[in-house]
Amino acid sequence: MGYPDFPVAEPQFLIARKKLLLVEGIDDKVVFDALCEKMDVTDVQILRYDGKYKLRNFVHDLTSLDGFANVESIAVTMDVDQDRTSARDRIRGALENASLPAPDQPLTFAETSDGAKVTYMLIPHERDHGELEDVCLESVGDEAGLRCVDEFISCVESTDSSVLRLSKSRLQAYLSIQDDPDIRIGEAVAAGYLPYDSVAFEPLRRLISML
Amino acid sequence: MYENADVLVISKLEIKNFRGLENVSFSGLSRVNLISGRNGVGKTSVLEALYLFAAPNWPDPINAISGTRGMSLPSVDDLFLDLFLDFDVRKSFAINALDLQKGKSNELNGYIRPRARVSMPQGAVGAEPEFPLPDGVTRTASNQELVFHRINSDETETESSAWLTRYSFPGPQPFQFDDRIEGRSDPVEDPMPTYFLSHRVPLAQTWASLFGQMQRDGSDDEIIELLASIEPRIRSVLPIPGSKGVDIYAKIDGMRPALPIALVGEGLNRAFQLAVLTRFVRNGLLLIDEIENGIHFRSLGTMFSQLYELAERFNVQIFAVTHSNECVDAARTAIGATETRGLSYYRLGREKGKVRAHHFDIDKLNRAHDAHMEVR
Repeated sequence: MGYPDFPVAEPQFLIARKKLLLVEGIDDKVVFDALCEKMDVTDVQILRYDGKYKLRNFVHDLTSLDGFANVESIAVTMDVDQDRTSARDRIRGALENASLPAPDQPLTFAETSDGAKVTYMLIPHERDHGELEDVCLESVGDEAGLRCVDEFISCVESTDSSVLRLSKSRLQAYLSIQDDPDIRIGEAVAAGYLPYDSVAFEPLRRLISML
Repeated sequence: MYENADVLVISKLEIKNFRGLENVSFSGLSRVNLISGRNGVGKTSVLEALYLFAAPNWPDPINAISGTRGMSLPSVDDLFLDLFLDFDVRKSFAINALDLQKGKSNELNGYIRPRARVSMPQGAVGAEPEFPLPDGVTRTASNQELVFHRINSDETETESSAWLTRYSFPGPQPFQFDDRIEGRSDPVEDPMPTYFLSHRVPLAQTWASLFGQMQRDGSDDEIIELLASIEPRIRSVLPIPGSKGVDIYAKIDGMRPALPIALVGEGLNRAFQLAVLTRFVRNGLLLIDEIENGIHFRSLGTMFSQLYELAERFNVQIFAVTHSNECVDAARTAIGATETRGLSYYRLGREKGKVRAHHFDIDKLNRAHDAHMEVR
């Protein structure tokens, strides 16, 4: 039996807090990191499960890790995308598969037999479709630069070129006209290009506060 | 090529009320089973339970587990208390294992009973001291003994027991000069070969003797590949008589004289022990405390590849404790590359005061690795 090259060590995480927030990807993590920092919240550990298709195994495997038995609250977030029901069912299914209770409604708690609290939130909150970028764009509001971006997008679409991921394109285009044009979505909150205290981020802030 | 490649020795293990383990279950056992967890959670206790479960010749296993812990002998008053949960001898301990080779469970219950009730069956092993007592020496046995009652997979029942014997010169001020754990066992048919390799065990005459047997039956060359995974310059191993017995030496490329293996390095020492033992516990269990000891992390993967191949070949089931993340990852990569059912990893964790074993098969280990989870 052959043996391949020894794997290069990669940084690993361990459960270090009693409050866990599971988010879909790197941008979600950086946005929630920035919101926590702005809110002076330091006791929430944010973990990314890297795509909605991996959530089920991620939650299941997480419950086997050292420190999980001490966790007091868990929240899961996921983009609504095109189907709110599907996203909700995916979260609830993942929780149940890991023998965790699933609350009926977002931003409400279900309790484990050990008293740990479990909740979830779909992004954007109370919308039938959309994603994190829509929340970010909403936080900008009717800003002049964004109006220019929308004219740019309209111009592109008028040339028979379709913009497939409209929200991401709008947000990236908007961020590209800021002082730091290379900034990622998540970092834009920390940099102040996306106002963390906007009403658009209120459900996300509420989720952090609930934990 | 392999003799019993698809037959594991044990597929499921349950331990109850043993040392600090109230009720721990290990399901989905594989050819190689790694156990990790925080200090004091009970990793070594799992190996000890397996050793007591499998080793038939009492009191050797009791002496061995005391020795590997570095403990002195128990006093008459607290005889074997440390084997019982919360030191409470009113709760018997139990070790149950599903024996895949026979398709049935083995069940072993341990408890303390007054020694006055003990009878010594004709032919029982250990009923009398194995050496003549000097004149004037008295032999006083403890009034309690540890009993292991075993229901074997063929539904026969056997019993082993161990007690403490004090040897002393009587008189107005008795002089105690030796305490020994002694014991007896009902004969066990077809016992499961088992060895408990502790990190405290040095390379000793035992190894020279075992290696001598391998030379006689011509299987000594088989261990060189495993040794070469730790020390690529090794060419051969040979027993050489010394002033106090036979020692194991290694011939190394670029060095004219052979070197004692212990001098070449602790890693080679450990690899030699693993290679020899895997051959000698055929169809049995190899229990290894701190398997990574002395082995450089870059050699771990190759070592696991070679060790797994030997374990498959001789149908040996390995249970090993590790504290090393590199060790778990090397086993996952080396064994998981070709055999998805060859490795199980268990994280022992204390949850609400009770120890629980979390099982990771190779798929789960791969997922945890990809998600950057720390699994220890």
